[in-house]
Amino acid sequence: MEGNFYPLLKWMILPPLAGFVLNGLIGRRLLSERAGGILGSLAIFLSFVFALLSLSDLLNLPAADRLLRDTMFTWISAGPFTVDFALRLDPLSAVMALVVTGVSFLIHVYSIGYMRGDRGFHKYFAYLNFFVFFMLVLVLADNPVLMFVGWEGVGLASYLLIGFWYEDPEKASAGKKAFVTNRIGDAGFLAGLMLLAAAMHAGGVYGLDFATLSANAHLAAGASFAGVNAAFLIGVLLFVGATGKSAQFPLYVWLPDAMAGPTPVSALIHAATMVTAGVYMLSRMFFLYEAAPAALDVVLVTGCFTAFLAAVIAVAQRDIKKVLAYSTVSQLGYMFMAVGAGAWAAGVFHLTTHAFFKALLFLAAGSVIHGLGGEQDLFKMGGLRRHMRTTFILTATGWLAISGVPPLAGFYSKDLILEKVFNSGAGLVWLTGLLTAALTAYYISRLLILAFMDKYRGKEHAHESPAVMTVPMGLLAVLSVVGGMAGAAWLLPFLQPGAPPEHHSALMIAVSVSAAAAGIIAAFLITGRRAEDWAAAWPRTHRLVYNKFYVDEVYEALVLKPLARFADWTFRVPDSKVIDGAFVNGTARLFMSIGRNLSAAQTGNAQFYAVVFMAGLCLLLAALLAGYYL
Amino acid sequence: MRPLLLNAAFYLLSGAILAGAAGTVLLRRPLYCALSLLFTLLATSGLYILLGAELAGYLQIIVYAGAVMALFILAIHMTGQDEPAKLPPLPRLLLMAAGAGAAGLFALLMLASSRFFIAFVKLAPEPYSVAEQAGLIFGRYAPQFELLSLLVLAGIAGAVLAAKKKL
Amino acid sequence: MMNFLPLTDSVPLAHIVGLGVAVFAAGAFGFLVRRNLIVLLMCVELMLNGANIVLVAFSRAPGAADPQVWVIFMFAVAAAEAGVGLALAVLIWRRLGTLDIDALKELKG
Repeated sequence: MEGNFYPLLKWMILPPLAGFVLNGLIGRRLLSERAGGILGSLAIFLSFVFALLSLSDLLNLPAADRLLRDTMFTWISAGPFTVDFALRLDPLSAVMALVVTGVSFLIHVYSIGYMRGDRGFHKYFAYLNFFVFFMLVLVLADNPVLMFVGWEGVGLASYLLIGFWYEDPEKASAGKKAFVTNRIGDAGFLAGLMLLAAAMHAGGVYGLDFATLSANAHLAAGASFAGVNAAFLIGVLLFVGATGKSAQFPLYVWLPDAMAGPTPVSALIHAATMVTAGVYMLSRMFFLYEAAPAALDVVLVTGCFTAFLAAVIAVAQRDIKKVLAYSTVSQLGYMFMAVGAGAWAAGVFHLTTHAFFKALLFLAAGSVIHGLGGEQDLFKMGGLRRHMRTTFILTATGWLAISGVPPLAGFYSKDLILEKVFNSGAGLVWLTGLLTAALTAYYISRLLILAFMDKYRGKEHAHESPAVMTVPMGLLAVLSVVGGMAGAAWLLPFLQPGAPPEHHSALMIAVSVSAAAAGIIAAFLITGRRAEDWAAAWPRTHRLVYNKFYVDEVYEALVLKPLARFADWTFRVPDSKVIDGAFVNGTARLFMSIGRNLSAAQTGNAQFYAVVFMAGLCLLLAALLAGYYL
Repeated sequence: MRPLLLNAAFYLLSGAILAGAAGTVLLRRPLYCALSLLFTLLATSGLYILLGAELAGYLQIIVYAGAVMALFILAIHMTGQDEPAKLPPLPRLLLMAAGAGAAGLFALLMLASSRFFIAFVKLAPEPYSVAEQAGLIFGRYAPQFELLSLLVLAGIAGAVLAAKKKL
Repeated sequence: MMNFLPLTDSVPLAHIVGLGVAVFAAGAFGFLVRRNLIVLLMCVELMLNGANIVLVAFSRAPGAADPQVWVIFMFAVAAAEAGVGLALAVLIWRRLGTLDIDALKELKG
């Protein structure tokens, strides 16, 4: 397919790759910590600059025609089936690229302060750049196969970064859990992709770039596999992939464990960027879901259920990062609810605002942890608004944003989603979403109170974080404040030009704001002076919620243990007995016994040899005679 | 008259050869075996002369019956084998197998050469001229002759080396 | 083929060949059965001798002088072989004290 060969796109992805290579190969040996950190951050800054330049070029194009492409090389070519390494910039990928590079840059700078003194400092920055490279490949890819490359790459980066302090076996196994759970989702993604390609090929379409796919989506809608409509099946399978990557039920279990990684990693990958890849992917492939509304229902219900479940679990957690992790799962559920209701642009809007305030909250949590020398238990914090004023102000900004208090960012995006859900007619889903919003306000207020209010319950001396950490947080706070207003005015028309302008119902706004207010007030009332007295009131419920409804244990019993037993059996019987025993050792034993039996012929006795000689001679003569006479 | 004598001579010599062969194979004392072999070789020489191969016959006496047998008898004495061997009897199976094998070989070889058995050999014919044989040896078979001399040289060298006490 | 009434001065080729092959077979039988090394070598000489007889017979029957010349070559070969063989036998006697062929089994296995 013809490409516009817009060169800046590849310049967007190359600096992080270069940063990875440089920091990875020579970082520890040749660069100081400062140089390594600056190198990594500079690479991302370059990408951000190129993203801005590309955006401005994009804006210069007419609204209905905003597309910039660059085909770098042909990757797969098998007969009529070709897949190019082609990059694409349209409003959706432009927004994603800006969010990724922008927030990434801020977190890189923050990390210079957070990771100071760590033995793997340069490795960390190399991995971070590695991640950004693949994330950009993911959002800029022009065909789902290349997107999958980015998908897998960020999964690998996630594994490497979660298990960054790999000497601790728990942290290492958290990384493993993330990767394996992701893999399960990826199986669904691949299956969906293959079905999509099959449906396309059956209709004679061989190019897999998004323009071709969206033009031929009817081919998938028309076909069916094993009696199920192809578009629906593909949509559900792709959503399974999104479930894994974006931590929705039932594949969300890796995200809370992923908090074992360094906090900036949690901020970047597990809040702002990687986990949003699923939302992006669904938005990208929305043309397919338009052809199969039943799949959208699956997305809607799953997103809603996940949002609610995660919010409930967050209410009872003690670890500050776990609260934020479940919060992320919950907010991602909101984004999927938006997509499921047909309003993917609202989902992307929430993705953007969530990137701002969730990254801010995570970085703030990191600041607290860093200032307390590693403490993460909320019950051992308290009163930090006096000891860490800047962090407190910034956290409060994030708190207001996520609770949905106007006019901060979270209010705009969350309210829009709830409106869209209500307008699409799913009343129960809307109600659950509203309840979840109240819970969100509750648990984040609880976090604020436990960490920053009352008196300090810990033993360490708390100190404020350096500027290299607080300045990026400040920038994110600014974005959390103005991002909503700016986004509502500009982002939505940019993403969907030609869509009718929104009119918002004042009643809806009032309802969602009161839900937020209710949550905040409830938190101040319940949490108050003493921590967790509802735990004493309903101990069994508390234990259930605190233990995340034992989902991990259920998985362990239903899936992991049988798998482990099966693997053990496969090792003992087919591998050891059959392959090792019969084939490998058996072959060896066979040849040894052949050898031993044959060596019985070497008696060392000359007369025995002569007998054999004579017998052979007789046979030879007999054969000759037979040949002659017969 | 003459044919009768010639035939008688032939069959007598044949009998002698066979008897001597049997003796070589069956006698107990190695010395007796050697003497039996000597007898066989002399009889064979006579057979050659009867068949007109005079050069072969005379050379047989000089080389075979003379040099080779002398060597054998010398070796028998040097290795103290002139005593009868005190060995346990051979297993019957081995004897029967060997006998069967030898008989089979005999039958097969006869069968193989049966194509030529319509021919007759004249007894006491004109012997081949030495000049003709020399012409063959030094003419057509000259390379083989030279190789043979190499072989004999190798044999001498080997025997001398083997006899030395220190190399 | 079997002419037992010697009324001519010719002998059937079959008889001479039979004689030669019989001597050869006797030598083969002896080689398989005897245990004394020197007697073994004598049996080898018998086999060679049997082959020589057949050669001489064929030299006469079709009429060419060539096989007889090969017989002369065979003498030389046999002499060389006997010389080396007996030298080895003497050596074995010196080393092992016996000429029993069953004692020579270092190549077993």
